[in-house]
Amino acid sequence: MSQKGKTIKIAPVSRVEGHGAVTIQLDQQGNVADAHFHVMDVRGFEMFMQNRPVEEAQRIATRMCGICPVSHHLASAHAADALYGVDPPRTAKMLRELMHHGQMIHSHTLHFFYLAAPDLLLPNTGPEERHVVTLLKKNPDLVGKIIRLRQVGQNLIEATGGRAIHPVTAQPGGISQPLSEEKRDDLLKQVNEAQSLATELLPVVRPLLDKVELLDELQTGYLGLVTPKGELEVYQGNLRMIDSTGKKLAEFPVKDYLKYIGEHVTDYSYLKFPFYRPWGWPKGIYRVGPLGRINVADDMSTPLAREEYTTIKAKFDKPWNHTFLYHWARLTEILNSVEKAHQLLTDSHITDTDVTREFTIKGGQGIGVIEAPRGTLIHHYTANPDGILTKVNLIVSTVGNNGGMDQGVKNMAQRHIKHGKIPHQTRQNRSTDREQHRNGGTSL
Amino acid sequence: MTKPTLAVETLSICSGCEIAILDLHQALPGVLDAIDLKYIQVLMDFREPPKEGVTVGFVSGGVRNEEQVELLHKMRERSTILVAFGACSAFGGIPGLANLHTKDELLQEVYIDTVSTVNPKGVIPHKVVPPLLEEVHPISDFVKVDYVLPGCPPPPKLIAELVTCLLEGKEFRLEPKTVCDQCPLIKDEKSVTNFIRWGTKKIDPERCLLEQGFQCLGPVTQGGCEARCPTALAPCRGCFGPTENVHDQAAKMIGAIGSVVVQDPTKAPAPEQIVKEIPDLIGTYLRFSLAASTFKKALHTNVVKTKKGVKA
Repeated sequence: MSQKGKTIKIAPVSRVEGHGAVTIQLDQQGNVADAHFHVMDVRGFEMFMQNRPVEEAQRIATRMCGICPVSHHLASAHAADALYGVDPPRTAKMLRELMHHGQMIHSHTLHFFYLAAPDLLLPNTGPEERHVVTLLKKNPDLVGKIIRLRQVGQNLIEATGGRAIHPVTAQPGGISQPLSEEKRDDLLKQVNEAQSLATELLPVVRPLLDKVELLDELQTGYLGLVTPKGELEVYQGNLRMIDSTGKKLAEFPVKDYLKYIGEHVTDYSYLKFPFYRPWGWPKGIYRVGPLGRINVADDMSTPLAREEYTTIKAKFDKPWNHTFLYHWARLTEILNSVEKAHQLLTDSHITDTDVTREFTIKGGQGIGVIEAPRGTLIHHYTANPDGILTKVNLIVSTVGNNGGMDQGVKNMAQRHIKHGKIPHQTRQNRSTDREQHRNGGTSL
Repeated sequence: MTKPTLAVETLSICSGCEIAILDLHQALPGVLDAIDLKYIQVLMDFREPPKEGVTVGFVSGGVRNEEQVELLHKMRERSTILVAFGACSAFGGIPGLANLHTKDELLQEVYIDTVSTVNPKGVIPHKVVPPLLEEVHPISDFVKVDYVLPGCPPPPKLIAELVTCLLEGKEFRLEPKTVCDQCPLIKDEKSVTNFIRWGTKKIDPERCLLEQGFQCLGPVTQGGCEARCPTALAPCRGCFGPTENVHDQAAKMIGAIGSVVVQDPTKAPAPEQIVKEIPDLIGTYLRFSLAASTFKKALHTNVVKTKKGVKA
């Protein structure tokens, strides 16, 4: 190995959730010897959720992520249902799922249109102006649609979860409040509007979505939930792990996750690095989120999303190792969630008032899973006979992409930095460094 | 005339406070017209607040590590008006529950003892990442705060009110009301004979949750949220912090409990029974404000931190 040269540090990394930094270590010739993505904060939920009652965890875990609090709320509810051995009524499950699709619409719209799209839609703008506020000034109509689409997502969450950010209604055995017919009718109108908005917005950005050369390909495994038919799923089901060639490595219920997933610790990031356990670290690096889900799935389950998926599939052979296709997969999932929300709202059982099951406090284990917008999220609780948490293990979606982000940062640095020369910020490297680590964010 | 500027510094955060700003939705363009948003890492590519001065500085998140102390001081120096934005900044928030453990216990648990972690060499992150402080702090432990906007996160409506007040040069103050004062559920009589764990019994959708025997912090929590949780039939957990003139939500809540218990001494529960029925008093009553409570001092004097938590 050549002797060390200069270290470049980019901190903070902006337009991501939480606190990140990138360091690039050059050798004496000024070429990239190594590079890392660092998550700079840890709060310790796995520690301080201990000693709390199981039925309070749903309202504490939300604070891991203010963009995807619904995922934590519901993964926690799934774990608590399992621990207390209580099966929520059908309508409660439907309302929880509706809340979750609301979050997918909000978070994916935020992620792509508010955070990523300025790089694609404002390519010749300097970094100080390349953000959604500039987009708003230049194209208020477009941004008006974006604002409204995300708002419909948040309204779905508020109607079912009590609050749009950090919802409060899911509890072991159900959900605290039913949905009135009046609210249902209003939400259905909004979801129809969201479908129109999504189908109007997609053609605006679709020509930009196949520019896969902007980001390196990355050969990793992928993880995500699938339906029993093998379709893309975000709410419940079995987990499927594939390798970078698309070969299925495992399909398992989340209760067996410890057989398949381990987490590695480095000295340079507060975020852990999960891996496919049978392959070990680092060979077992996998990625999650829209690209992970769409790669593990054999198909989509709703018409508009399937049409979009078929369009991508006609251009690129699966599995899609192109990091850039995260965008297209994410937009396809907006369609999926709008369509799923519509299905739920047109099911007559959605307004049934039987939404809770009583349960008895007891000890034991409970493991819950959900697909958060940025990927597979697992909550694993152990409680004493008084229903007090004694052990908490959380594999958050952010960690699922940590190995990929770290490797991606290194690849991009090697591609762009030669003999100590750092290229002027172009559309290319900007959109690159963003998407590499936007799939992550805060630590636990 | 140059527009007043707004900068948002984020410390130990979940980003919920920043999403709350975006949740102004259609009102957001108007706000951005009136005040020039100059710095918010979640949305923009500036790496620090503007040097030439900030009219209004929001700080979200509590203070968890050494780097955040520096960021906070920088923000204070550059801001004319500094706002503690959200529960973490104001009282430490939920991450403040980490103060029930030492920093080393926390690192040991997260990076070594969690069940899916494979870390045979016992590596603890320490390169490039900023060292943790011993505990989580509200920002007022380090700097002078001009306004507090509580909530986890603050409701968008209050964010708009605050910005309007500041732009018009008016004082911003929350009405001296509790969550109970804004709650639509019916308060009836002092009839609680025993307290019950959340979810273990059907909820009566009309009646006060506390009077049904569920823990609800409505009586001791600053209002302004329009009682959004109890309205959704989920009990208040106190994210707006204590009302004015009350320093400690826990101390006040113990009093509030007494006031809903059935008054007939032959039916009233014994104090030791009540204590048994509230299994996590600290985590329930000080869920958002432990890091700013009087109990925090007790943590250092009368209470022993043990391997897995706190022993009173």
